[in-house]
Amino acid sequence: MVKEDRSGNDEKGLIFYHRAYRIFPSGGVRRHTIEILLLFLLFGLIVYLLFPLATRLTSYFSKQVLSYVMPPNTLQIIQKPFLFRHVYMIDRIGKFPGAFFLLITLIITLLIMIVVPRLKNIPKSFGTWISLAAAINMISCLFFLFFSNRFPYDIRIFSELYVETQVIIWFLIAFIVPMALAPFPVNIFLKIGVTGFILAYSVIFGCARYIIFLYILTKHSYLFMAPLFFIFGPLVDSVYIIGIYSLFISLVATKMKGVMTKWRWSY
Amino acid sequence: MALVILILKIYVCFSALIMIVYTIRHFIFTLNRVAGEQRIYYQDIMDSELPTVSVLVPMHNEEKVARDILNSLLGTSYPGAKLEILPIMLADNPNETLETLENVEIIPIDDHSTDGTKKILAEYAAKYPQVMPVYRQDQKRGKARGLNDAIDMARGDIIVVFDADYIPGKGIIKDLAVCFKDPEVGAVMGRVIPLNTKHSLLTRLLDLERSGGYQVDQQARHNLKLMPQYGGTVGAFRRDIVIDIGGFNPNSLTEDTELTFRLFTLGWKVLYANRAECYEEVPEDWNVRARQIKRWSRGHNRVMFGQMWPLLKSKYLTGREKIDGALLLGVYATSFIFVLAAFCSLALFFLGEMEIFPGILFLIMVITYNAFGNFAPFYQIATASFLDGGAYRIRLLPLFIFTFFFNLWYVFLGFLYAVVDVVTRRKTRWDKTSRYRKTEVTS
Repeated sequence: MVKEDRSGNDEKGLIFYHRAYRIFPSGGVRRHTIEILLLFLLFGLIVYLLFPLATRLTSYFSKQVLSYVMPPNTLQIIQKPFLFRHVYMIDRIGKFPGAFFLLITLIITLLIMIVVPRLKNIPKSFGTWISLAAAINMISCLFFLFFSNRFPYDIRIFSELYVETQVIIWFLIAFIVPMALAPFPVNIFLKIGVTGFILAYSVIFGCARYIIFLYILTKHSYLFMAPLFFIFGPLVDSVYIIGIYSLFISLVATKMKGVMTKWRWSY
Repeated sequence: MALVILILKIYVCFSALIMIVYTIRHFIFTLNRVAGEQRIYYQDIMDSELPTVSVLVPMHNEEKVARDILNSLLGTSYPGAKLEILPIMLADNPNETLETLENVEIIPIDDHSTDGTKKILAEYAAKYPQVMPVYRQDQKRGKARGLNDAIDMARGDIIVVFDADYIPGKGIIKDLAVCFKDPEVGAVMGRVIPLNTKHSLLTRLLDLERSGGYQVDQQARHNLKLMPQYGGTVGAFRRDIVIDIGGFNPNSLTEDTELTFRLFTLGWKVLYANRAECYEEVPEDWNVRARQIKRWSRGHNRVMFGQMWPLLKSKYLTGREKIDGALLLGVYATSFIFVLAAFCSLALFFLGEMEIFPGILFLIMVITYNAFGNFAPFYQIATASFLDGGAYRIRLLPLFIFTFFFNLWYVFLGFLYAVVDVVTRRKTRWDKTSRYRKTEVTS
């Protein structure tokens, strides 16, 4: 906190102790642990009660959107038991890659794998990510080239995997977000709000991604199923979870900056 | 085929378990740092009989940064030493200086430099008698070898080591050396803070990563009396112990980690001094960063192969220390475990054996949480940055997805190199990290 005094000199209005032994003012380890368990119970119960509805809505909206680009009568909403309740998903006839498409994809993938690591204007971290995605796609291409008839999935099985994954992600959010928020000196209702917001975002994001995945798999073939799952699956969920979390923590940090009463020191 | 599938599934489950253990470990550290009892370091002890100190600075082509660290070291205060006065009084008579100087000597180690480093060191040695360079040209190159040579000629009871790109603060030598009044302490580690944070996304992410690693991880390990790590720079150790154990292993790429474990297994304690902050230059270039983490991984994993058994059978360590030590030794092996698990998952995917799917998912999720931000999960980094008073930089956390695969790959490669090193017993070569400084910061 720097303020100007009457004589116009810059002076520090408040000098904190050193940051080395700064601690948060609220609660102890036991209190945080109880808080995590309570919030997990609350959100775990909410997810358990609402996941059939959420997957039903996801399937409904996906069907509505996909109806614009494919005949509605080819899209069917089905259900299956999961965790003693039901999940809903879309079934449709998928598409195997043709020989020409497969070959072209393989060549492009190989080119990406060779060229991208050598490009100097692409950050190496980003290049590694692209190369890894290309490597998975290449494995998929080779599989379809030699064992196309042994590909073990169709849209129904993929949908099952996707929807069940989504449900487990919601349970994980219900546990991990309260756990990550627990140490911070914030009102518990704000923590409930942030966790709820991330869950709601996940439902919407999961629906949008499901539509894109189904579109790619039915219009452009099963060839991309592996990279879609391994690169754009649960890993991407982490990005928005951490994104929303970090934005919230950053706002709290800004609010606490320079406020002496909000901090404690272990001296 | 059924047996292969079973093995793949068991391995994936095993990997998930390992990652869960690390996640829990990091969460315990985070909670301890913000809500647990903090173990205060010894920095407030005032003592007129502090030990004598030799400051070693390994250097190889460091002309961009050499003046900065020497100026900073000459500006440090250490009770009993007359650093500010001696150069002026005794510059014409270096021999007299050596006898008079009681508490601190500065030993830059010029290790096969081909740039202007040697000239700079000669200039400072002529001007300041407490600067006594060691020139290495004929011997084999390497940080560990250089340190061994310098330790042989050092006269201080305590050896403090700084890398050449560091900017030590005025009171840091006292902060580091004071803990050796405790006879159980064998080494101490200070806190490293990046100097060039604002340069790029990479440097900003490294700043966050360092914050998580020191403000939370090291301090929590210090609080819980586990195994804080001596990091090879901004650290100090007792000279006689290192001589007794035969010096640093010249084939080690992470002589610091090796020293940590050798000290602990011999019954010494290593402390962490969160108050002893020192600025450093982090890599500004992804290629340099790739080489750096590959080298760390290679060296750390070699130490893991060599030190795991002595750690587990040490009679001086408690069960908790052994568990923490084993997890610390295994931290660079997690990438290998993950990459292998990813291959297993891919194989299971194409074999149509995805009924284990929730398990695979759990694996991916846990690892993602654990590995975002290199070796500290996102909640640990957020907490550390918060404690440091940072606000906006916390928003960069989701960008760690770009370093996730990058770190994973190069740490994985480092592990493979370490395995080959151990199997073939080949010699390693030190790969120096590039420097970027354009102007002196201490002038």
